[in-house]
Amino acid sequence: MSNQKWETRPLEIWARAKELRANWQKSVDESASAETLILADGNTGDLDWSVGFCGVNVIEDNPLGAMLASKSDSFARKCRLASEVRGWGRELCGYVNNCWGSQFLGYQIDNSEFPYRDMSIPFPDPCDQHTKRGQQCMDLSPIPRWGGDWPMYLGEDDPLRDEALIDHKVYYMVNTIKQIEKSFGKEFDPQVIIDNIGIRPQLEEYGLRVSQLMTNIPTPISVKDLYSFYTMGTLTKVDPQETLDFWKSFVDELQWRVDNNIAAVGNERYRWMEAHPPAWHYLKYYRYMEQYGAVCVGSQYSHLMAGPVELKEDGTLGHRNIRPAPKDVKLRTIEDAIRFISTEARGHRFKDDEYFRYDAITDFAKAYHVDGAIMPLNRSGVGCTLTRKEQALRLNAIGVNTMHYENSQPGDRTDMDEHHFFDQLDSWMECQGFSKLVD
Amino acid sequence: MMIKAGIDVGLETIKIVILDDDNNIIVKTKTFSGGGKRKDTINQLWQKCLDESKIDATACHIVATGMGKYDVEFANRYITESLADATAGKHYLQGVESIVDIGANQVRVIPINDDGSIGQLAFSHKCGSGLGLLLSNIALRHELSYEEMSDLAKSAKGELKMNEGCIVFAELDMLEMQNKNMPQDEIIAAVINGVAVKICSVMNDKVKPSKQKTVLLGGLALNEALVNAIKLRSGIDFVIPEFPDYGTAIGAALLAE
Repeated sequence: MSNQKWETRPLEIWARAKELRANWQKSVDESASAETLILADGNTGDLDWSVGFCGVNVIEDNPLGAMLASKSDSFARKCRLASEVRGWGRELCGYVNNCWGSQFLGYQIDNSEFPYRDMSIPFPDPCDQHTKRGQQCMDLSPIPRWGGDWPMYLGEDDPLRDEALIDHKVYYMVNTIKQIEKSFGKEFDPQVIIDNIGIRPQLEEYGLRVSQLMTNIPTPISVKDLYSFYTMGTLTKVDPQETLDFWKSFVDELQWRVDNNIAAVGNERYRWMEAHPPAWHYLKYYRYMEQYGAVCVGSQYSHLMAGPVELKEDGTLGHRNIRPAPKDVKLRTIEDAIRFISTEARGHRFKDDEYFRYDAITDFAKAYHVDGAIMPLNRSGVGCTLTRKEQALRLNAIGVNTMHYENSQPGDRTDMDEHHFFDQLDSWMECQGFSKLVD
Repeated sequence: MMIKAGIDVGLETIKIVILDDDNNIIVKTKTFSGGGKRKDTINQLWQKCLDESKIDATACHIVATGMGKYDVEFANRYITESLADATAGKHYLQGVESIVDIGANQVRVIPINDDGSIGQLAFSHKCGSGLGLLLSNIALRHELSYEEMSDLAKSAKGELKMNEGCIVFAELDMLEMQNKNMPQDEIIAAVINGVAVKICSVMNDKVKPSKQKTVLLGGLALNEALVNAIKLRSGIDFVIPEFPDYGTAIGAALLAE
């Protein structure tokens, strides 16, 4: 491509990332024959169940469902059909229908036996269809399913309510532990949790550093690159020390890239952001936009790895709440550990921001110096239409140009007009004065 | 003398305009898009323009636009419809604040900023697509011309309502009304009102078009009943140029160098 301003080069961390991801995938594939209990977790909760319970393997359905959408359209379709004919509506969630469709088929994408779950603790969310999560596996067997809560309230922070929310979280999580112990005859080890309590804060530190480095112009990596790394240690768990080592190497490499002006896109001249995950089966649009010298710096979703963040007065990103260092805190019980992990009562996910931290999306745009934003209008699940247009108006007000596209849900390609989407991208970029950069 | 040509290859029709140095229309012509033989149709139509106007093809700078623009293999430049519309709108109305294009496939709303740059675009999404195609199909089923459709709708009382969700459901709904022998003028009026609802939903997106300084382009702007229905819903007093169906092609031609 012409107009190359900065050097580009592949990331050296790729090989290690692939290895870790492959290890995780192997652990999933072999789960069926392994002598472990398998816990279906809708997403990462506040507690590492596989750490606290020896012999319990956690398989998250979101990354599996997204992986199926990205890797094999034909298998993902088969899975979704298997779900639909059993009454699980398409508008439920592409991730869920992919993952549990595989359950109904009885085999995984590589034809290995499906690892049937032994219990389910789906994580809740203040939106979409999370109340239905974990039902597919629960109804099939039946297996126990425990529902988590994600309590919220709107309006200004209220310390008394926050305290009540945290108390409630402690209560239901401790209760869940007791019930698992009773149901499966397993003993939860709170000391292991306490001993490893520093891992998540450390991961969030590394995540924040990556987020901060991506605010650099040019950005050292694009969000498409980031997608290969951002779930390490959360949705795709491998050995904790290996995970920490990986993140340190990743941060070091990105710092080096920033110091030496190594760019994700060598002719970066337009920075854009998103809201919510992308259409996993159609990631080619990131490369398509690079033809315009346009690089995607991510979204509040992709930067969740950093934990709760905010835009500081000096224009940089920083953690919203600072936990004390684990060594400075006396943690004796699992209740103490849960309270330590729970930095915010109302949760910090980007979806919460849509309800009461309205400036979060414009702060993101400012931090990353974005010119434009592409927002999904999804029928269901993550990225669903609620507040997408309002957020676009807020972005427009600070001079960020926005575009919308319609889709079913990131794990389901059914309703996406892929060619029309590219036409729209062309119109959008051309009307902002950009034409494709060609040799 | 440099001859400027704009070719708009739309879903239903191909439009060609040729302008002189003063941006006067020397030639304008259109035909149906020709389905699988679209490239041949384009080439034949272009040749027909040249033959009738006796213009030397080498003196033309050709800009192609529309969803089928890349079938114009002899074009010098390709641009998106939104850019062509914006250019046409500025040409037709000094101080234009927005352009709305209603065609066979798409509805586009193009706001123009104070500095003349293009603002936040809005497009019809899935269920608002193909509105022009719907009206063509309805006209075909009722064996009416476009003008006859418009006249019939204008004479109706507007007593019927129909599916406003998508063109597939709308057409099926219309067939049900036909099956039940409902008055033809009311059926047509219901279809046109349904289309107006969808168009207005796009106009209610991020930036609402200006009430006084909005140019209306596209083939559907020729349907008087539809335009009246949109005006009634939106309160916009559209500026409609003489050949709104050629608007995008004219915008493309204006960008020829």
